[in-house]
Amino acid sequence: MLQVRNLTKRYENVLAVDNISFAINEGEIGVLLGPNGAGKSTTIKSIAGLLRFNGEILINGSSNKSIQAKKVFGYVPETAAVYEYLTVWEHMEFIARAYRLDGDWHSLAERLLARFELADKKDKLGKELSKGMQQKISICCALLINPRMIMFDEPMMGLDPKAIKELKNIFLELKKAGCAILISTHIIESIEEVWDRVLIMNKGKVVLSRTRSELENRNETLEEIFFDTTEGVAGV
Amino acid sequence: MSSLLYIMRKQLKNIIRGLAQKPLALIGYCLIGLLLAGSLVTVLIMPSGTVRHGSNEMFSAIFTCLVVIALYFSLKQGIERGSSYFRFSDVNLVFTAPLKPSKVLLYGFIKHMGTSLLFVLFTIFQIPNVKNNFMLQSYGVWMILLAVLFYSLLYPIVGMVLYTISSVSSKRRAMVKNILNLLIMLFIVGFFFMLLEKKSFTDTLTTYMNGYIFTWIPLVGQIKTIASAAVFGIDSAFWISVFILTAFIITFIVVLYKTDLDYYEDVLAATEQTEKRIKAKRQGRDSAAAQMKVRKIKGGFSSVGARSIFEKSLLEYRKVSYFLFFDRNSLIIALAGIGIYFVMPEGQTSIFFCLFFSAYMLFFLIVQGKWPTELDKPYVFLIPEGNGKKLLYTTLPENIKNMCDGVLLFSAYSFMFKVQNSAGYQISLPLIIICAVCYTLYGAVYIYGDLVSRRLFGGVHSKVMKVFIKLFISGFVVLPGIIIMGIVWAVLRNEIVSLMIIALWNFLVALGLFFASKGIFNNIEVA
Repeated sequence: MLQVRNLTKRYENVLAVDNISFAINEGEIGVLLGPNGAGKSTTIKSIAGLLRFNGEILINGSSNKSIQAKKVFGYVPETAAVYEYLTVWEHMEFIARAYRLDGDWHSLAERLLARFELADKKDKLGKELSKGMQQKISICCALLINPRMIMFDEPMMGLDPKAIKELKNIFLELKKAGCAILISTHIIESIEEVWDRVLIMNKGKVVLSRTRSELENRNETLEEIFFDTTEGVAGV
Repeated sequence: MSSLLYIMRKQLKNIIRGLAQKPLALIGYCLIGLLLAGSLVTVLIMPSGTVRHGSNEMFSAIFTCLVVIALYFSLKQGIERGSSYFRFSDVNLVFTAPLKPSKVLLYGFIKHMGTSLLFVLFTIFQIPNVKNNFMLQSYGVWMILLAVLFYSLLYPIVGMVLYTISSVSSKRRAMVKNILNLLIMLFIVGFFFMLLEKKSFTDTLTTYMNGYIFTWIPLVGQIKTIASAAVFGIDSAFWISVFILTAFIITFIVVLYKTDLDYYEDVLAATEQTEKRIKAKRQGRDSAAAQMKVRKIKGGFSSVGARSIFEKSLLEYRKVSYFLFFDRNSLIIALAGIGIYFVMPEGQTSIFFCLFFSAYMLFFLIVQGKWPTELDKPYVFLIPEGNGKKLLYTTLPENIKNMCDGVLLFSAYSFMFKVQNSAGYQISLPLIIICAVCYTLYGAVYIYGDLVSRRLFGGVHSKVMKVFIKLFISGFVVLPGIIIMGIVWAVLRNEIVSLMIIALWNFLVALGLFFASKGIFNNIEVA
């Protein structure tokens, strides 16, 4: 579903992402794990088509910047982005219309808002919401399009425990439905129960790639390999 | 205190070091510095009263009026949210450090003095207008700058004192606010009574604002006296005013330094406000926009795809504007465009000047306006539609707004001043329409020029530099249209044809810039 080949991204003199390649299949939860400044967010933003980069990124077989690809992927940014003067429901309606969703979107939107405890805040303006609630809107907007591939950049930031639990359930439901999921985080515990493939990044490189079964066969833990690979090793 | 001085010294040092590492930014700041120095020299040596010889009383009246209005809004804000010299970094690190609050306040005040000096420097750009219209003394410029400096140092102090007095209870806050509102109402009612009697706006302004009572209002009276020395000359009243204000500031500092203060809570709300304002400025937005009242309006979506971006913006406009697209910026543009009539030499007023000046003002409103906020969020970037369509529908509301503002401005200008065209007809509808079209197309050039600048100079880190670059590019691309128009006007003496030249040129430029900026939705980092 997602193929990243030789992705390189440079900001002036800083090499943020250094020639990385990986793939996430349908029904697979991939995790970009790494310390602050490892290049995770830059990788996600490049895949979302928000940055210029060198290399090739394909989503569902199409270039990530093509209209075909944009129709099938969702993106939840690191910092919640909402329109100050649109209500919660108007955000849903805007996304539904912009993505030309069919008539069923109303019920899905209602369900999503209920799951994230926003149903009673449908008429609240974006600027009237707390940061956590704004993050919930971002998540609902990305999920509303019924994505076949979805990216979350530090999705748990600012969420309350109930929303975190709900989001983890959603990860598993999406996986079951065949959606490819890519999560960027530096908090290992937040994804320990759900991940299938981990890509540990450090200094712009993918320093280690493992599937859950590979890790279990080697009797290793995520935390162990994270610290082993991010403290001094120069790449694989 | 040494630790607080360390923060100031280090921050200044790091700013300079940061500039040294970015040569382009350094060159930009040097250019701004040169521009300021050049402006200062120019305003000092340029002759006074070249456009018209406004009376000294009029100068004093205008300055007093401005001080009263500015002080009213500053104090109103002071009562509601207090005043603060601090940033959040100070709240988190300095307020919690084992330092005497009075020393911390002094540190804040010293920082504010730096900001005040910058504020004074930027008022230099406004002085040529004053010099053109009034006969200033040889040292008049310094008197104006001194008055502005005193004002910018004093209003936060008074704001903070008022907040401390009024924040005890919501009842007391309401009372202080009501007293302030009552005073400003009395000020306005008094003005209108005199206007009814004199039946002349300028006569009323001159007589009313030079009334004896204003000399006795604390701060207003002293600042007015200092500024008036620019035209009347220095007298004993000037020295007394300087003495009073200086003594007030020194007393304030000494009292603060000696008193056991507990003011941290009082400045928190204002610090938050300052932080929001700075964030808005850094994002290139108008900071006042964040405080707009929002109307409850439902519905508005009927289209799908890229058109829904247009409908979304329309919905947002309906919630925050006065009516349709008319908002605070429409009023600013209308007042500025009409105000230019009074600045131009008598007998040389022309609707061309109104167009050019309002188009100049429009540039700043556009780069700080609502539409660039769309580029801060990823939604439009991600929508699966063509880039051209997305750009068209994202910017269409702003273009329509400019058309509405243009019609308002040029209709008002024509009706107020009975503009005649070359054929001698009064209030020419085609002239109003072509002016509004030209104004709209100037807006389009700025919008798409802004986007092209972002694509070319997105990496420039300073917002001020970016605005200068955009201003330079916009000025450069619209200039040929104005030159060609000037030639056509000289030959044909026909406003409509001349303005059509501008419209045509701006249309072609805007079209070119539109196509050059289409790719903006492929790269959020330059947007």
